[in-house]
Amino acid sequence: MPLTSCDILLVEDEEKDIELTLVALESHHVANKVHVARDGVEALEFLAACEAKQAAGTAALPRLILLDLKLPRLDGFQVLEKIRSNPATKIIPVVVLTSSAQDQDMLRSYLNGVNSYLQKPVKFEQFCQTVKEIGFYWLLMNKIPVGRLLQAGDSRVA
Amino acid sequence: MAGLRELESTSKEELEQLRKRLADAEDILQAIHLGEVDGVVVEGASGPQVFTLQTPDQPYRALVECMSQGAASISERGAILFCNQSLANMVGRPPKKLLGSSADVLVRPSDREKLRELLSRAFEAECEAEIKLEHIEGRAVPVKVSLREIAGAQVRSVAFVATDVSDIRRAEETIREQAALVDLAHDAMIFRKFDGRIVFWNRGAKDLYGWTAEEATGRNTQELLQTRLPVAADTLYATIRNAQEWEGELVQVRRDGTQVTVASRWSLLRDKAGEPVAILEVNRDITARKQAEQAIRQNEERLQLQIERMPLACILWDRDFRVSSWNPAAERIFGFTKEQALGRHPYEFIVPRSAQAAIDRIFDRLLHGDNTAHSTNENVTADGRRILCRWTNTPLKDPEGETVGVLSMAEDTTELNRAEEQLRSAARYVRGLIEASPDPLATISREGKITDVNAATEKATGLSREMLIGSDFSSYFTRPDEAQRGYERVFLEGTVRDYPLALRHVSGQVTDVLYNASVFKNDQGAVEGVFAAARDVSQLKKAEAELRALNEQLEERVAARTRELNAANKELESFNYAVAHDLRAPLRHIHGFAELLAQEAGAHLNDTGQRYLRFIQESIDRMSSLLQELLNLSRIGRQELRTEPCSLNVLVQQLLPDFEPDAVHRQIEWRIGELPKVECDPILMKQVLSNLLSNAVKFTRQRRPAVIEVGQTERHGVPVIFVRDNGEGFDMKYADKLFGVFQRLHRQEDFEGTGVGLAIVQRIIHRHGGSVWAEGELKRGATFYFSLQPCEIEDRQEAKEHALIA
Repeated sequence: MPLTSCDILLVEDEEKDIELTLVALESHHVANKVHVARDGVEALEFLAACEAKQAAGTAALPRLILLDLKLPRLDGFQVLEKIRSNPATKIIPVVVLTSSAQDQDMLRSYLNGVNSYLQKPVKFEQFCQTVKEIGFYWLLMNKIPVGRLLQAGDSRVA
Repeated sequence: MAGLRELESTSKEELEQLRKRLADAEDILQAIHLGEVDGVVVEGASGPQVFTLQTPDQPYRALVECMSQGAASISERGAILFCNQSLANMVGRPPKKLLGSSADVLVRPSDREKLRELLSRAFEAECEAEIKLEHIEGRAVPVKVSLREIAGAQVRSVAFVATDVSDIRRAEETIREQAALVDLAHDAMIFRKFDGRIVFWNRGAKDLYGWTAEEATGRNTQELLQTRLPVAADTLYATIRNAQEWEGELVQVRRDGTQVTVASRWSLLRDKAGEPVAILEVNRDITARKQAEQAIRQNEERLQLQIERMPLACILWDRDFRVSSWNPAAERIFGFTKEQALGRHPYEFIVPRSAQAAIDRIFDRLLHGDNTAHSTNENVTADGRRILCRWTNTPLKDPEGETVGVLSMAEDTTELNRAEEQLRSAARYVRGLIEASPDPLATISREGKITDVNAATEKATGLSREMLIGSDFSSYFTRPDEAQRGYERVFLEGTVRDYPLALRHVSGQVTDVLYNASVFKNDQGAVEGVFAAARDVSQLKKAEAELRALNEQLEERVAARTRELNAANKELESFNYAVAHDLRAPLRHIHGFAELLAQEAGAHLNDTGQRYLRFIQESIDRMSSLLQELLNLSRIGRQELRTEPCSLNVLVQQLLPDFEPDAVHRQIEWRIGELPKVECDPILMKQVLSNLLSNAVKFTRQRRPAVIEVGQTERHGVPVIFVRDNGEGFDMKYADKLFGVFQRLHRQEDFEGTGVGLAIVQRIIHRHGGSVWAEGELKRGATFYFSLQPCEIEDRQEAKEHALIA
C-alpha cells in the first residue's frame, strides 16, 4: 500500500461503519486524507511505516487517530497502549469512537491515555454531526506540535 | 482426860485421908494428954500389941507407934536408938533388926551423905528435906524427913520423922506425865475457875488461839476468846450444873483477830460441898471442818436447786426401780406430780408395754452396775400421749459396790427427733440433689484439699470418693497451676465464673470444663472452703466447633454463591456489553444507510417508497430509545445500592429545572409538600423522582393548569411519598400492567414512551426494600405512591416483573 501522509487514521473493522464514517467526513469536508486500517495490527504497521518515513524526512504521521475499541486480533486498548508507548506516536491525539458507553471501557481508555471518548450515535444525522465536530475540533481547533512529530526520540524533552 | 480426873479424885481422897489421920492422931494425943486413955492397941507386923499407958513415955510411945509416919531416934553417932513400926515398914525390915544399926541402912546410898549432914545440922536446928529411903526389896521410897534434937533425953539424939511422899510423888509424876500428854494433845485444854479465870492453858490452846500460857493464865476466858455461845449463857451454865458436862460448838476469836469455830466439851469440877469450882474446857478446831460442811451444804443446796430447776427430768429410783425422787421437770414432761410418782414402778405409769422388753434389759444392766445403760425409748404421759425420751441412767452404789439405786435423767426428744428427722430428710434430699447433679461438684478446704465430692466427680475423674477426699484439688487438671490460680481467685473475690479448665480422667481422657466456684461460710461467717461446680463444656465445645465449621461452610457457600452471582453478573455484563455494542452497530448502519439511500435515491422513489423509508428510520429511532432504556433498567438492577440520608425535597428541587423547557408553553402548578429525609441511593432516587415527575408532566400536557403535587402521607404506619397529577389518568382495571416492562396503557401516538420508565421506578424502589403502587381515574388524574419500607399494599408487579435484560 502506498504510504501517503494523511490527516486521519481511522481504525475500524466494520465495513459499514467505515462507509458511514467516510461519508460523514466527506460531507462536511473535514479531512482530505483518511487512511483506514481494518484492525489493530494494520494500524500499527501503518504507523511504523509513517514513522520510518518521518525519520527519512517526510511528514507522514496522521494528525488524528479515530479508534474503535472492538477490533479483531489486537483490540483497541492494546493498540492505544502501543501508540502511547511509542515516543514517535505518543503525542498523536487519539479519539475513541465506539458503540459502547460502558464505564469500564471509558475508564480504561482514559487510563491508557486516550484524548477523547465518544459514543457513536445511532441516528445518522447525529452521527454526522459528531464526526463533523470531531474533525472540527481536533483538526482545526486543537493544536499539536507538528514539527515535533518529525523527530523520533523526542519523548524526553521536558 | 479421864486419868486426870481420877488422879484428882485420888489425890483429893488421899489428902482427905491424910487430913483425917492427922486429925485422929491429934485426937489421940489430946486424949492421952488429958489422961482419958488408959491403953492403946496397935496393929503391928507381928499382930496387935497392947500398950498400957503407965509410964510417962508410954503415951508418947503409943503415939509414935500410931503414926503413919516413920519415926526414929538417932544417936549422935548415927545409930538407930529407936524406930517405929511405920518406919520399919517403909524400909521393909523388922524394927528389932534396925535397932542399933547405922541410920545409913535406912537410906539409899546416894542420900547417905545427905542424911549425915542433916543429922549433924539437926543438933543445932530443926531441918527438913526430901530423901529416898531404901526398901529391902531395893526400891526407893521417897520421904519427907524432919529432924530435931530430942531435948531432955539421956542420950543425945535426934528425932527423925519420915513422911512417905511416894504416893504424892507418884501422883506428881503422873500429873507431870499427864501434863506432858496434855501438852502433846492437839486439842486446846483450858482449865478455868467457875468465874472464868484461866488457871491452865495447854500448848494446844496456844497453837489454836495464839496466846501463850503466861498471857492467858489469869485472864477471863470469855474476854480473851470472845466466845460466842450457841445458846444463852444462862442456859448453858444451867445445863452444865445439872449434867456436869456440856458439848457444843463455839465461835471464838484468835489472838490475831481471826475467827475459829471449835467443837467444845466442858466438864464441871465441884468441891466437897458440891459447889462448882472449875470448868475444864477442851476445844477442837473445826473451822475447816465447818467450812467444808458449809461448802457441802451449799453444794447440796445448789445441787438440789439444779435438780429442781433443770429442764431434764431427774428421777431417783431405788433397787426395785420405784421412784424415790421426782423433780419438777419430770412432772412437766410426764404429767405426773411428785405425789403421784413416788413409789411407783415405771411400768405402772410411764413405760408402754411395747418398750418394756427393752427396758427390762436396761434394768438388768443397771443392777449389775453398768453405767452405760442408756436408752432412747417410747414413754407415755399422764394424758396418754406417746413421746420419745432419751434416758441417761447411772447406777448408785454402796461402798461394797452393790447397786442400791439409779439416777436417771430423761429428755423429751420427740420434737427434737422430729426436727432431726426433718433435718436428715432435708439433708438426704440435698445430698440426693448433689448426687443427682450431672455436673461434677466438689467442696475444697482452705488448703486446697478436696473435702467432699459427688458421684459425677467420681465419674469424671475415674476415682472413688475415698481416693479423692483429702487430695489436692488441682492435681486432677491438665494444667494444675491454672486450677490453683483459679482456686486462689475464689478466695480473693468470693466467686469465680466460667473458669476454663480441663479435667483429666485416670484413663487419660480429658474433658473440657468451665468451673464456677464460690466460697461458703460457716454459721459464724468465717470462710470454710470453696464449693466448685464444673460444667462439662466438651459438648458445648463440640457444638461450637460444629457451628464454626457450619459457619465456615456457610460462608464458603455464600462465597461460592457470591462468586456464582458475580460470575453471572459478569456474564450479564458481557451480555449487556454485547447487546449494547453489537445491537447498536447494526442499528446505526440501518439508520445511516437508510438516510444515505434517501439522499442517493430519494428522488427516484415515489411517495410510498419514501414513506416506507421514513418508517424504517422511525423504527430505528424507536428501537434505539428502547435499547437505551433497557440498558438503564438492567444497570439499575445490577449496580450496588449506595445509601445515605437524602432530603427528597432537595432532590425534587434539583429536578424541577429539567422540566422548564416543557413548561414554556404551559402552566404547570407545582405543589411540593414537606418530604421526609430518607435513607436511600440519591442517584437512583433521583431517577425515580425524575421518571415520576416526567410522567406527570407528560400526561398533564392537555391540562390547563397542570397540577402536579408531591407530598408525604402514611399507609399502615409506614411513611409514603406520592406524586399526583390531574392529567390523563388511567383505568384502574389495568393497574397491573402499569409497572411491567414495555407495558403501556396509552397509545404511542397519544403519549410517547418506551414503557420502561415505571419498570425502572419499581426496580429501584424494590431494591430499597420498599413498595410502589398507583391509583388513577381515567381523565381525572393519577397518583403514584412509594415507600422505602415494606408496606402492606400488595405489590402485584413484583410477581409480573420480567426483565429482558435483568
